[in-house]
Amino acid sequence: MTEPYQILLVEDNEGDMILTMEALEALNHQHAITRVKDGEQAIHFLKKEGSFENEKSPDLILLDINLPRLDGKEVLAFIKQSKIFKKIPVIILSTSNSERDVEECYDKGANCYVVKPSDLDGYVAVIHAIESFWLNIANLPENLNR
Amino acid sequence: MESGSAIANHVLQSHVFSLLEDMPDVIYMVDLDMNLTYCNKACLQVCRDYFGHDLSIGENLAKLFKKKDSQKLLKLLELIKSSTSVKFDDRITKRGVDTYFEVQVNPVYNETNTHIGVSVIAKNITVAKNAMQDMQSSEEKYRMLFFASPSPMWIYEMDTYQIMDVNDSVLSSYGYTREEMLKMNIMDLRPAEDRQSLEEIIKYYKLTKGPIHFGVWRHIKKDGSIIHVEKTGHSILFNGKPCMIEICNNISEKLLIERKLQLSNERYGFVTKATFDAIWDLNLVDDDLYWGEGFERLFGYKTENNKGDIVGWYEHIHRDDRQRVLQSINTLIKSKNSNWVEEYRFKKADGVMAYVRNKGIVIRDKKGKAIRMIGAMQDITDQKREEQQLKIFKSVITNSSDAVLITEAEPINNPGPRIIYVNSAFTKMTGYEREEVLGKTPRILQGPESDRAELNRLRDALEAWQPCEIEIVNYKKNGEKFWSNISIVPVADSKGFFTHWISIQKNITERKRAEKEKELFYELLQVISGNKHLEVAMSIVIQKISEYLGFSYAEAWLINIDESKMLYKANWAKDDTAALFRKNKPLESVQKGKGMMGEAWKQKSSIYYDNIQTSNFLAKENALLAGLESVLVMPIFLNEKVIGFFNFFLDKPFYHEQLYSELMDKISKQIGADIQKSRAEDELNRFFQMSPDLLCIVGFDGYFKKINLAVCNLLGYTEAEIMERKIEEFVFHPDKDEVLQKRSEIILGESLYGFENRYITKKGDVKWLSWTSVPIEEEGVIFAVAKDITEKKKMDLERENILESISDCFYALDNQLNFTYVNSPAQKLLRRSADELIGKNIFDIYGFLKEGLFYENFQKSLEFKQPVHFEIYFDQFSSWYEESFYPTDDGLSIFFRSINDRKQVEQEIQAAFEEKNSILESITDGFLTLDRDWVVTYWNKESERMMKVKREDIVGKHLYDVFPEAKTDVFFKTYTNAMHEGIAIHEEEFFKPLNLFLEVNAYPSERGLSVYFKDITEAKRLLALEQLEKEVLEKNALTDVTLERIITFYLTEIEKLHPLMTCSVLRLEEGKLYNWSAPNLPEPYISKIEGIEIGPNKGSCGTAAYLKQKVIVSDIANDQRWMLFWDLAKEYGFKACWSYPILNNQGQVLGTFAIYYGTVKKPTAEEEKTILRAVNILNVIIENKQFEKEILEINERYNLVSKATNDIIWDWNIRNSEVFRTGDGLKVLIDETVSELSPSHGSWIDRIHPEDVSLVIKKMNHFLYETAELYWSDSYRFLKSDGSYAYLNEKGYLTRNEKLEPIRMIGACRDITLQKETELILKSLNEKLEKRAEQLVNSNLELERFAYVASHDLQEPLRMVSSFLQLLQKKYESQLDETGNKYIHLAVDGADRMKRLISDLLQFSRVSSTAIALQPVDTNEVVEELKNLFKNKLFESGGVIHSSNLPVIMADKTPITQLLQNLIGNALKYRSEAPPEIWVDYKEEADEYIFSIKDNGLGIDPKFFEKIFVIFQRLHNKNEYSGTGIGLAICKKIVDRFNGRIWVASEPGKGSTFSFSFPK
Repeated sequence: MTEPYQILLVEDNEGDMILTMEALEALNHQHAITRVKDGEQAIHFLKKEGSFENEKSPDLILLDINLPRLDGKEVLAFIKQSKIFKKIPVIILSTSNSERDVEECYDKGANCYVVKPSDLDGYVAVIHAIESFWLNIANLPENLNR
Repeated sequence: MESGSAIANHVLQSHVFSLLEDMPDVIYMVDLDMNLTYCNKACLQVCRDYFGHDLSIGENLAKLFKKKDSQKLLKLLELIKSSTSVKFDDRITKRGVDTYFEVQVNPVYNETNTHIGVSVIAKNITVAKNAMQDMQSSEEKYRMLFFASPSPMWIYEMDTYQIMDVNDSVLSSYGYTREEMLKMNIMDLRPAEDRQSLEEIIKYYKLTKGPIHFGVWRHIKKDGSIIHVEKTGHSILFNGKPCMIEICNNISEKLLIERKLQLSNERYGFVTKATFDAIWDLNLVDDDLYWGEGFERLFGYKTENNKGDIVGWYEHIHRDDRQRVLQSINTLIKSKNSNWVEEYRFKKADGVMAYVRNKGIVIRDKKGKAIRMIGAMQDITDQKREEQQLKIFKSVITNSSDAVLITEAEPINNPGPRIIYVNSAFTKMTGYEREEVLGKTPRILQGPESDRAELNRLRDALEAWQPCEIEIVNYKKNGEKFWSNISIVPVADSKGFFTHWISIQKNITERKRAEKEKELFYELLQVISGNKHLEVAMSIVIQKISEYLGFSYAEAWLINIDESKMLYKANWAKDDTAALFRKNKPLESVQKGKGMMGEAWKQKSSIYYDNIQTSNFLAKENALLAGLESVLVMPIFLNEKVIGFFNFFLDKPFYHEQLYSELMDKISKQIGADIQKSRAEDELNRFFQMSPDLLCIVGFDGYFKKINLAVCNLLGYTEAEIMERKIEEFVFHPDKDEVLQKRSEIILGESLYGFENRYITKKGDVKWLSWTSVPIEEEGVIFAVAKDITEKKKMDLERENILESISDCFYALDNQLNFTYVNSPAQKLLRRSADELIGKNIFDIYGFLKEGLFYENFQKSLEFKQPVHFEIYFDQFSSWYEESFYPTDDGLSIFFRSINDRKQVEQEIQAAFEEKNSILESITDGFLTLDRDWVVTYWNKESERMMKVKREDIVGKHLYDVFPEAKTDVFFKTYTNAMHEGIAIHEEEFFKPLNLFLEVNAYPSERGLSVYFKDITEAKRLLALEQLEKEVLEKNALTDVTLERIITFYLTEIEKLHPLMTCSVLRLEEGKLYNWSAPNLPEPYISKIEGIEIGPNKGSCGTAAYLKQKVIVSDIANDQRWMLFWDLAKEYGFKACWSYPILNNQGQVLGTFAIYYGTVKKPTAEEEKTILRAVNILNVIIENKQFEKEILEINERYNLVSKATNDIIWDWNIRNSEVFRTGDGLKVLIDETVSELSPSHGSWIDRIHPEDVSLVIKKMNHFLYETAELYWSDSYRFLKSDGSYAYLNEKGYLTRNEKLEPIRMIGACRDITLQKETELILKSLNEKLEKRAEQLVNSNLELERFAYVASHDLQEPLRMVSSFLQLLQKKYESQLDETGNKYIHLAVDGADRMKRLISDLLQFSRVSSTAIALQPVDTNEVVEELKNLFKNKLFESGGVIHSSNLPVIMADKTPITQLLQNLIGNALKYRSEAPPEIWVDYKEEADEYIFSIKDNGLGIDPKFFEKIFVIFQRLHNKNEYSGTGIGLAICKKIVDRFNGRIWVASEPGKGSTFSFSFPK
């Protein structure tokens, strides 16, 4: 690992945030995880606006769908329509297993759609799987900061 | 005894003799020598009759027998001698009539028994004989008839029905041998059921004489087949027994044919029925009207034998329509058209007024007289009504550009009435989809800027159930504001209760904006016209525009007067930053063509750049400085001329409205006039001020009202000083009175020109002024202009000294011709000093002058008191002089000067001119020069040739003396203009006197006019010809123009181009020529040559048509080819005639084109050109039209039939797939150019709507090949040529052969699009309403939404609960006691259950929310899958699932699987102690399958049978059996979705059987 990866977690639910963090921490990793609470902030973060001026661009985005202010689908659409950000892989993490949501997200260019498992073990397993695939197996594009 | 007998004999004898005498039989006796011994009366008579001989006793009969009877004689003789009795028949023939005798010859003995002779008794047996013969021949006939008859015949005994005899035909027809036949009785030949009636009928006819017609009976042949025979019989006696002879004709064939005929009639009848119309046929000659059946069917009028009554028909037409209908029929009959169609109202028998469309066609006889009309009358009332209904429906709601919104009537208070309908315009207007707003309130459209007062007004109206109209700001779904005009009306039901509000909403944003912009625009105009200074006005204008449209900075520029540059006029800046634009080296003027303004000027349109840096804008740096990013240069127009620019700037890119608003357009186009006006005022003011002349306005009171600078400058006073003093105070004192005098005249209305007076300046100088003054009485002022003429006045004084200083020679003579004055140059030339000359007589000193030219002119000048100028050469002085004599009152003034130098130049010029002349002569154009007095000074050869005037006849003459006609010509004016204005002209002129088109170039010069002209007549004519040909061909393309008319038009126009020609076109028909068109040949001449036969020497045309080549007869009188018509030609003055054959592509002569001339003449090249072109054109149009005519004739035949109906009639030959279609409707459906549609069945099919086509074909194939039906009917959508689909209703009658194979189908097809569309719209409307109702009842929408929420939002907290409980347990398990862990376990379990519940609910809601896609589902497969799914459970419980062979059903696999899964799952779940056993079975009913799932489980109490299918109903404690209570509800829902039923039968403790039905 040359440099720790930057992960942006867009999650309004405190509980899920903690679970995700716990799951990732259990891996003993070096990744820098930033968490924002809503869609608007996610976009500010990406654009390095306001308080995010000094943040680094993420290598991977974990995105919840149900978000206040600007929901996850809109954030997804923003990212995938942007010339700059569209190459960052976006993993949708959602409670919904509605066919409609799944299709819509892939339509909008989501790289992966994962239904949050309802039990703790399942949840941890999923986060581990994501980490291992996207950050250890998959080749990610050159980070925008580099 | 002997004697007794003798006496008796004697008595007897005498008695016998008298008896013999009277016997009708011929009796005679002869002796042995053939001498007659006795003959009775009859014998005498016969002999007399047949032999013309009177017998006498003793006569020897031998001689009576003629030679041919010699045999008889010998026989007789022999008889006589043999003395035996003989009997034989004899015959005598006389005149061809045979008489037969039965002859008995007996020997006669005397008393001694001596043979003495014979007696002959001949009995006339002719009658008997004839009868016998007749009988004989009749029997033969009978036998022949009977046996040889091709019709089967038999004879049977009436009592026993025994067959007595049969003929050969019976044998061959029935297949029996005669022997077999004769053993049968006739009943054996009948089907059993016919026998009784046969018996009855035979009994009935037993006693009848004469032929008996039995009618048609059935017979059985030996092979068992049944034939139909028609029997005729005759009762006879045969072998003494009453018998019947019968002739049986096999009419099976005939019956078949008749049946077919009947069918064919039916078919005809069907076709007429299939057309939906009342067919009628009107004989115009005797006014007989025939009505088809449709008349009664459609309109209810009974007709007798279909006979109609034309008056009756007419009287049933609506009174208001009658006149029109009658008139249109009359017009049609009189015209040449054949198609008639009229729509009118027609009273039906039941009194109802129907709308009908009546179409007819007229059939005409050869003369074009209408003799018959056939038509079809169609009831279009429904169509009309539907049209109207549809129109209303469409216009009001569907297609309305206004948004239509319908709400329930209440509640008016919060949350407001619910929307139940919106149209598509609503979606368009607001962005809300229909589904989004249904059930909501219109208040969703309102927002912060919606006017509360207006809304309150609306609310008040609603509460009072009053209609209301408001205008407010509404909001679209995307938040965009728009102005809406809302008109709301309440709708009441039939009982008068208000049920709904209908709201019509219009987007009036545009209007509102337009209003605002209009206001602004007028404000701008006001600003311009109200401001004294244009710059100020413009500054305000650009400010207002910028503020309205949100620009940051603006400038106004105007183009200067000579349009060489643009000048900066005004600017406006939003803030200080923007104001920086002009801080640094601002541009004040820009050269034409430079920068963006230059570009906009050139393009005459606005230009803008969103990035000023990439533009060619000049002051980029300044813009950058001022933070401006985009620029718009908008030209200001005045009458399409750019007069200036408004430049607008913005600190970011423009948005659309800024660039393209109507306001900007209006400003650009319309404000120019006002700016220009303001500018003109500005300039006028400047003129006034800057004028070097003194301009002033003076009041009648004597004060200056307004003066310009020049006044101040001249007088040296300030403006104020001048204004406060009376004018007279400035006037030089001596002139004062005159000034006052003149002013009073002016005040009285007189204008003053060139009035001179003197003014005193402040310095005290005297200034001469020349005044022009005009009073303006209404205003009480005088407009005055004064020129400072001080200088001029000074010069006048000086001029008196000039005479002396001029270089010309001058001297004056008095009346005595003495010198009175001689100036110094004159003294020099005259070589005498003034002193020597003054007082002396001129001729005394210069005697040589008293003769010649000088003296003549001298006298002339004196005598006529007029000046004379001339040139003269004086030898004495060796010099040329120019002399001018001016007579004065007291003598003569003479100027003269030497002109030697000039003369020399002139001579040189002359020489040069000669040279040039030869050049001019060689010019091929006509060329002439005119001096300023219109005298021709030059006329070249070409002019001579062209104008036919010799040079010597015109040079030196006035042009219009030679061509007086030309003076009235247009170009006289042009020339005059050219001459006077000095403008060169270039014109094309028609020179009437010579019939020439001239191209004229005239160049004016000092001396006059040089004119070049060219003859362009030929070019013009060709152009005209070309134009004409185009026109003719265009006309030809129109079908309603007849060939005759086209040719006549063409010839007339050719004659106009060649006025001396007379044209004629003849038509060749069967070797004879007939007039086609000859617009200017005399009628009698035409009729005299009509029908001439073609041949050599048959005039020009006859010969040309014969030889197939042109015939040019240039001199008729001396041409043999015209020999036959010499007199005729002479009579009509024809001297030449050229004829050209018109040949078609095959080289056949169609006719001839001939040109007659009144002079002997050959065609010129130009004429030949015209003619050959004309022949070609004629060929084209004639062929074209004739072809058209043929096609028309062919079509007419078909159209006659088809036009009688509005439908498309088709005739499909199924065997070869040929389809013939006709009918008016076809045109509408199919583009006429697509002609291949008629023969091919396939191309018709191709146009059927893709969704319908397979069904139509399937149905058709089924009908054709799998049924024996004959009547076909179907409807489908059909692609029209315009791309839309029409609904067609098609009916047909099929003909099948004996094997029932389809042969041919005839049918009618009708476009029912309109009905269908209405139907569909109503249907879809109904469907929508139903759907809406269903949705409202089921609240599906909410449920679905709930499901969605459940899947997300409910699951999420649940997940939190269970996840964190687990985390808690994991991390702190060791610190918790058992109870704590148990609690956690319970909580996790609860969360799990809730999750399952939600997931089940979700499933339940999805059953109805997903669409069903029907496909074949093999239920065996489903059950197998389920067996696999429940494998574990089965294994655990030791259970087993039995399933029989299940059917394949049309369903959607997923719900079916779910259904069975739930049912089987339940069966496994609610098991009894015993290992579960489940039976899946089904039963097939007529239209459904009934599946059953039987188990051996717990069973259900009957009182719960209904309840268990209701959601959340559980029969068991959840601890006993896990479950959410939704499974069976899902089952029921699935079954419901497929229109099936589900039920249960059960006995507690024994098991349950769940059954569901599934439609096939």
